[in-house]
Amino acid sequence: MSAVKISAVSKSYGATDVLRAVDLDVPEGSITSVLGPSGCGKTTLLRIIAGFVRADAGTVTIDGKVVDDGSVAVKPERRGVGYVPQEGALFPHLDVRANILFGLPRSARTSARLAELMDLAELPSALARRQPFQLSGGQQQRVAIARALAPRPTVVLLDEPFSGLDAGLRVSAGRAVTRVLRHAGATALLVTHDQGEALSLADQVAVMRAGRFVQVDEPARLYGSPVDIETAEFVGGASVVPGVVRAGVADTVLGTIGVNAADGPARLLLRPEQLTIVEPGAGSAVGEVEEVSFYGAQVVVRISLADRSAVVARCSSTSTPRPGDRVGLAVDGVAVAFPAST
Amino acid sequence: MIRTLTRRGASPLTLVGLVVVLLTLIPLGYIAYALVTMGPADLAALLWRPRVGELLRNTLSLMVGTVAVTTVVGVACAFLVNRTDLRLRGWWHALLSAPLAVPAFVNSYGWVSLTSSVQSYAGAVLVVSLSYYPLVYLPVTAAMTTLEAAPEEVARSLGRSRTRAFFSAALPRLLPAVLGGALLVGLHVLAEFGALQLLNYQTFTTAIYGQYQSSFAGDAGTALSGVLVVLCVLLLTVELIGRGGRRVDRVGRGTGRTAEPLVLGSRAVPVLGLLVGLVVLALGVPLYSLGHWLVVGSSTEFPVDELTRALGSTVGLALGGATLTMLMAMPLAWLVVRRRGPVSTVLERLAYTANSLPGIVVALALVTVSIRYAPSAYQTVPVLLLAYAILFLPRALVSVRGSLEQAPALLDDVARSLGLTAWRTFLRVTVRLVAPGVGAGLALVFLAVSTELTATLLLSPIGTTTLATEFWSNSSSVEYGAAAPYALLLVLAAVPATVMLSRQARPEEVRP
Repeated sequence: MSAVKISAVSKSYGATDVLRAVDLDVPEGSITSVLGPSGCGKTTLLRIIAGFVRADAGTVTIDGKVVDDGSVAVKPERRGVGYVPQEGALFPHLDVRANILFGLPRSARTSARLAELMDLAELPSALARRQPFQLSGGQQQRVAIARALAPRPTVVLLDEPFSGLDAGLRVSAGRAVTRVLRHAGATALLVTHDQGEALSLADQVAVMRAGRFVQVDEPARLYGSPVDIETAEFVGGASVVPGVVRAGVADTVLGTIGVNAADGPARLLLRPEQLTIVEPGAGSAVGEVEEVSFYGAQVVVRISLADRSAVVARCSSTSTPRPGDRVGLAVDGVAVAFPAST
Repeated sequence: MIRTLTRRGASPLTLVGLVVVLLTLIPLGYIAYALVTMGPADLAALLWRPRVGELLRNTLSLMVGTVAVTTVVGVACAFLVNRTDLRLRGWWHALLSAPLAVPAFVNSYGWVSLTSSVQSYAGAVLVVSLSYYPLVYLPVTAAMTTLEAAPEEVARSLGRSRTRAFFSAALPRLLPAVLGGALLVGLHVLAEFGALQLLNYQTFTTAIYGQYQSSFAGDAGTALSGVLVVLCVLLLTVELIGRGGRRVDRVGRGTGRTAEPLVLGSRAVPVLGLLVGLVVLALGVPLYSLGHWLVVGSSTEFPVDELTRALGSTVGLALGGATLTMLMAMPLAWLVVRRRGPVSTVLERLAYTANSLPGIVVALALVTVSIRYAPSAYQTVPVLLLAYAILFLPRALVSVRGSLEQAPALLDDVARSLGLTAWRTFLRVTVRLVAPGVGAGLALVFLAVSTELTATLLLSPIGTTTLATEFWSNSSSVEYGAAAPYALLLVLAAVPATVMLSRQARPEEVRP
């Protein structure tokens, strides 16, 4: 069953169409991520679900009840959604305890419930009397989650919750937050522009571009079989090489590559990890190293090929080539084929 | 280190700052000294009278009433302008801040000259509130334009209605602005002389003026001044306690998204009615009255000579006052920004405290001190200018301080590393960056001096007339027509400062 169901929701501000008839199902108990570049409409969608903004058309259903049908909208406080904005937005005038218990009726604001929620959010109980500004970024984030979960909402909406944190903290905060959500058995919708965050934290990723969902899929399927090249490049590193397919094999500047596509000209998508750097020699394609980016455990190498196009390969840092080196390239696995550009 | 090129420790500059602060402390110091030397018995005899009790009742009830009305009106107006889909909000903002351009005593004159029915408690609360509600409206508007909506939205998704979310998640963060505005109103009410005298409403300030007229620089006036100072200090303390030690600014950097505007719908008509009504009362009545008396007055006489003379001396005094104030503010600002430390902080706090004193207290203290210790200085221009400087120092200080903070010492270091001497650095970097702030501060003080009434009445040299004193002598002797041209010039003099303040707190335009 869907906790949240969105059908044909549209929204425009003046002449700008922000959302163009989008559909989305958020299955109960799952974490769905809406992924898209900034300005694509993902935050507007989340605000429509929360009830801060009204849809122009379409319906929003939460827990089986229609909350917005384009003409009548249920108020945000009657929707049973938890909302976690950027950096958590804790109430600066209230301590941790009052923040977490804020959404509960007075009689339910018990120490037992507080302890339960703080435990769930992996917050040490000593923090209960702290003021928000005394907490680290990650702790603030978890207080915000605990506060959102306290009234047992149907769905928790997270709007770029980690974008204010610095790079090191983002990953651990993201993991901690999803762990909390899964322990609570909560349904969550996470809006982000960070593909790593979306792929690693969510059960389902909905890629949005210019007010439309272009693909809604499990992370692995999204990465492995993107619907188009733009989506492919958005969710991860990608090299595109032209080729001609004949009987399940494409003939390209990198040699022959297996594909699942009909015969004819095509563009082939290769992920960096599919390209292996080998000794230049018989049978392998040869290129010249243009650029080497060192990331510690791994190295990303940009290699220009005979036809002056470039591909990106990933290799281990134990055998790093240098710019100007001539290297050979081997292709692992099968490439995803897209129609040749018109 | 940022401060490698600035010297530290006590310096001639610290001494200059100390002298400036000591000058501003003359009134307070004198009153404390006089009250102590008077002795408890004499003091009790002066203060333990039914008359003082009545003044206390009058003053406190007026203050409470005015603070309550201005807070409600100011916050409500700020809400309507910033948080609803009210149309033409830029115009409403300008109209709602405009009453600041009508000095309270001119507003009071506008009302009293039309109807004597405002000469009552309710009338005094009405007229004074209409003059002072922008003191709450402006800071609350400024706070609302940058107030992040996220906490309120969280409160709504946690089950609070729009109203309750505003009260539980937005208002606490607006509290410093609301309290700061209310404190300003309270201090203004305590200091207000002209408006209340015309309204025939007796407070400590008008009583001190009465004492001054009947018994000159007697102990009775000083004792009443002492009570007024205590009231000011109490007010400052209450505000400090109300503000509390809590931090209510946002946690983290936040998104900067402001709230979705409330759709007024069918409520738009009554809301517009209320706003129009307020503007008519606060701006329409005094301006109508002014226009009326201008027409009636000019039919009899239009004293061009006297007007020119008053205008000339007003401009002269305002220039002198602004220059002296700025000269005193600059070393203090430099100390506070560039030589941070306990000494600088204490000096700055003291300078601000001195400004919380009502004009009448400062003026009376300077009268007494000059008569007792420097009779030749009594009622001379330098003492009057000093009074202006004591009263308006913080306005200059805030402006210079703000722009000096935009010129960090780091830039000096960069200039020095590029081969400039310290003096060349000061001229080519610091002065250029500070100049706008100095200009704004000078303008603010200039305009404040040109509409100042109380200290000018007590301290101006005999025969010197200013716009404010001429207006006062005419309007208090019920020659409303003759007062009108002066009132008009006073309003015009207050317009630029009002525009400046209004611009600083401008609400954001809503997206279409």
